[in-house]
This record gives sequence, structure tokens and C-alpha cells, in this order.
Amino acid sequence: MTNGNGETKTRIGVSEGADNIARQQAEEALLKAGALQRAIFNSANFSSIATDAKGVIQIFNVGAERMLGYAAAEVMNKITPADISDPQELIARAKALSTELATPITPGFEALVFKASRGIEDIYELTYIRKDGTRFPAVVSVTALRDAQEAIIGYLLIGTDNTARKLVEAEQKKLDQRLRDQTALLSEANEEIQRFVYIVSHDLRSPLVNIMGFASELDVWRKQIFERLAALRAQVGGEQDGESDEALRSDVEEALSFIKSSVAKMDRLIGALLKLSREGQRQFQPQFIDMSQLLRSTLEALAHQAQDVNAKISIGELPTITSDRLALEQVFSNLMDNAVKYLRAGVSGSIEVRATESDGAITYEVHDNGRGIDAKDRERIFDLFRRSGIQDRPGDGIGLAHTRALVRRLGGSINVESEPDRGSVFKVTLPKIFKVTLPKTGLLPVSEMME
Amino acid sequence: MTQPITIAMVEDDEGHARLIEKNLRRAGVHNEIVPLADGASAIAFLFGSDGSGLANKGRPLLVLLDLNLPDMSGINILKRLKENEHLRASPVVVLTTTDDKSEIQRCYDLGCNVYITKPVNYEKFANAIQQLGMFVYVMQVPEVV
Repeated sequence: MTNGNGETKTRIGVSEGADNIARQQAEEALLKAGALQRAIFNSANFSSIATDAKGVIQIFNVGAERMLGYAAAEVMNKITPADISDPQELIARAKALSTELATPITPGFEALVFKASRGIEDIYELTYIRKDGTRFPAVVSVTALRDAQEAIIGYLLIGTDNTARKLVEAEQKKLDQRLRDQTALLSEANEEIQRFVYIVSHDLRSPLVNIMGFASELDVWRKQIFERLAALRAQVGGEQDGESDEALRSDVEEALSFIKSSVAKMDRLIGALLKLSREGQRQFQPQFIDMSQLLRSTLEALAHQAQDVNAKISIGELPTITSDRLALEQVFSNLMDNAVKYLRAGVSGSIEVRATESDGAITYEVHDNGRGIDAKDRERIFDLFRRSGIQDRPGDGIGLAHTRALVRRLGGSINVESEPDRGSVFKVTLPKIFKVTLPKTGLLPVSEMME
Repeated sequence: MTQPITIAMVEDDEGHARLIEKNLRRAGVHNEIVPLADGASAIAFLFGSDGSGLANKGRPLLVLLDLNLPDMSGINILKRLKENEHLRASPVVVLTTTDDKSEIQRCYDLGCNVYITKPVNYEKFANAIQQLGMFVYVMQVPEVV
């Protein structure tokens, strides 16, 4: 029915005596079919191999010649596609199919076409072997060819060279593995840092107990010493140095009070480090959250402070989110707290929370009309122990550092836009749905800030 | 006439030991305080040379235990104490800088009787120890059996 040049002899079934139009239509259809066939058989990018019912190759197109290195004449009526396929793979395929279809299938041509012979659409990967013995991966689609009575008269195997995709896949696999290795390493390093911070914090606290303890004891002794000094002076009847005693007394008092306030501050900082390290280890539990409601309950805790400074807070209708509730409470309570804390004296405060949503991400914005942040400080304020502006409010420079660490761990980002003496906008962008990707990836809340 | 309680103070930091002792004394505790500066000497004193704990037979013992010791964790000592048939009834007061919730839970799970965190704030520290002292003053402790 064909020759090696891909030309096909086709019988035409137009009945004798039919009218000219019908004949014309039939000829056109034939022309089209012929053109289609020629195109397929001359295609250099697809190998088209047709066989008879037993598998013996009948058609071997230009693409097949190019990919496999055989001339059509060398294979036609001589071998089956099984002879140019990897025999190991054939054995494996036959075995797998035998199990899948619960019928014994021989590891030859039958294994290649069995599914197609049962009318099952079949596309699979295999390794073809070229005339020179080299191999290449291919994706092959197999179709049974049937006659008018639906009896199988042969098979068509259309294949593409899969080498490029395999290379990409292998490369991708390598990259994935590298990424997994890196993540594991990072995660391990992070855990180590968390443990380190934890241990160091405790070990730092121990000497502080002593410094504070003995400074306090000294303070008690100071009083006793100066009382005794005064008593002794009274005994010897000398009053002349009373003034310098007083100066000495206040010097000692001042020194001790500096020691104590510094120790207290150091204790607070260590406490903050401990808290951060502890929270860095906490596993997030994503859940569906009504953000308007979450913000409103955060607001309740702030109501008193807000009233004190005559601030109005309004919360718009906010998009819902799937994320970690506790972390979000901390993030927004911190931002709102800051907004209330750093308003301008004499200006009634106005704080507003809005949100925009796009592309699976939500940006929540906390607007205030407070004192604003100088341009040079807009990055700095997110660093641990760093603060901005006039230092007239209590704080240790921990809140925003903690907030940024949390937002990052939630897969988001935070930034600030601000105009000094006009106000600030803190923008928190979060994924609409937070997914816990790896069991222990806590993304460096502490280490990052200690850089 | 019952024997007075002996206080075994397992504390590696000399300063802490001094401050603890000072405040116990201020609270009117005149009992013998045995300072034990590391895990090994604590084990040796508590369990004796044969490791059985019989060395302290007949003695009412109260153990003040720091968790961060140079040579071992105080948790190990707590565990051994509470597993020992002679010593397990002796009260153990964990006295440490750690305020980690899981650590506290762990100590109580292992049978510690009181867990006290050493605060850096000295007023609170002195208060805590003096209250402990007053408590020691009135408490009844069984003899090591």
C-alpha cells in the first residue's frame, strides 16, 4: 500500500455513474488527504512508523529516517519497532502491562501495541536505538489501524525525540535537589542560631543577677557606711567635711543607679531576644481569618490608650485571609500600637486600616497622621534595637523588628511610606493563603536581625 | 526531737549562691546549707559514694537545684533524685534563670516540688528567696529513709 517515499496508493470508492459534482468533491477530498499524508510522511520532526498487524514495518517516514539513522528500505518488511527499542524496557513494559491488564504479554512488539490493540489510547516514553547503536528517549503515541470491519490491519507509531525535555527534566531535578539541600542547610543553620540565642541569653542573664544583686547590696551598705561616717563625725565633734561627704554619697548613689538601670535594660533586651528565639521556633498554623474582626479585637486592647491621646481609629471592610492568627495579631497590634504611640502633640489622631487585594496577595495598610519617619530611618526602624525620631516614648526597638520577622515568615513583606510631620503608612503584603511548605523553615527571625 | 533540715544548695554560680544564702539567712533560716558547685559534687553528696542515697539516711533534706550546671543539666539530678527510693520524698526546689514554659513543665513532670525563676530584678529576687526561707522555716521534711 505504500512505498518508501511516503506516497500512498489509495483506492477510491466513487461509484460508476455518479454525477460530476460528486466526483469533483471526491477528487478534492482525495487531494486533501493526499496532501495531508505527504505532509506527515515528509515531516522531519516526527517519526511516523506504520506496521502491519504483526508489527512488520510498512511505512518509515523522513522523520523516522532522520531520528533513527535507517533508510526506509533497510527496515521496511524486515523488522518491527520492537527491534529498534530498548529490550530491557520492553521486558519491563511487558511485565507491567501483564500485571495491569491481568493477561500475559510477551516482551516484544506486543508490549508496544497491546493497549492500542484493545482500543486504549496509549502514549508512553521509550528509548529508541539508532542504526549506529546510540540511543535516545522518545515519546510515542500508538494507534491501531482498522479496516472497514474494524479489524486491525496495522499500527501507527508517531514519535518525537524527547532528549531536550529529558535534559531539562534532569537539570530541573538537580536544581530541585540543590534547593532542597540549601533549604535544609538554611533550616539547620537557623535552628542552630535559635538554640545559640537561647543558650546565650540564659548564660547572659546569670551574671546580670549578680551585678544587680550585689549593686543592690552595695546600695544598702552605702547607706550604712554614710550613716556610720556621720555618727563617727558626730562623736569626734567634726562637722567641717559634711559637705564633701554629701558629694561622695551622691556620687556613689549615682554610680549604683547607672549600674542598676543598665542591668535592667540589658535584662529587657535579653528577654526580647529570648522571646524572639522562642517565637521563631513556633510552628505556624494557617487558618481562615476574618481580618476586620481580628483588627477590631486588637483595637479593643488599644481603646484606652487611643482615648488618652484623643485618637480616632477606623477599620474598613478588610479581605479575609488564611494565615497564622497569633502572628497576625502580633503584627497588627504592634503597628496599631505604634500608630497610637507616635502621634503628634496637639493634633487629634486619625488612624485608618485599609486593604487592597490582587493576584493572590493582600496588602493591609495602617495609615496614621502622626509624626512620620525621617527618610534615613525608614529601613533602620525594622532593625533590632533601632528607633527613630525624638526618644520621648518608652520602648527598646524590638516591635518592628519582630513584626518584620513575623511578616517574612508568613511569606509576606512590609514597608513604610512616610512624610515627617504628616504621617506614615505601613503596608503589609501577605499571601491570601499561607501554606506551610517545610516542617521547620522558620526564616531567621533572630539571626537576620542580628546581622 | 527531730533533726533540723539540711539544705543542699546545688548552684554553680558563686555569686548566686552567696545572694541566696544571704537572703535565706535574712528570712531567719539558720539551717546548715551545703554548697554544691557542680553536678558531680551534688551527685556525690546526695547519693553518697555507693550512689544509693543511703548516705543521707535519717537526715531531713531540702534540695535547692539550679538547672544550668557546667557538667550536667540539673534535670538529670532531679530525675535521679525522684527515682531514688531513699531520696524521692525529699523536696526539691528548682531555682534557676530559665523561665521557659516547657522546661518548667518538664521539671514538675519529673516531680520537682517548687519551681522558682531567679529574677534579674533584685528586689524580686530577694523577695522570692526570703519567702522561700520563711517557707523552709515552717515546713516539715521527711527524713531520708
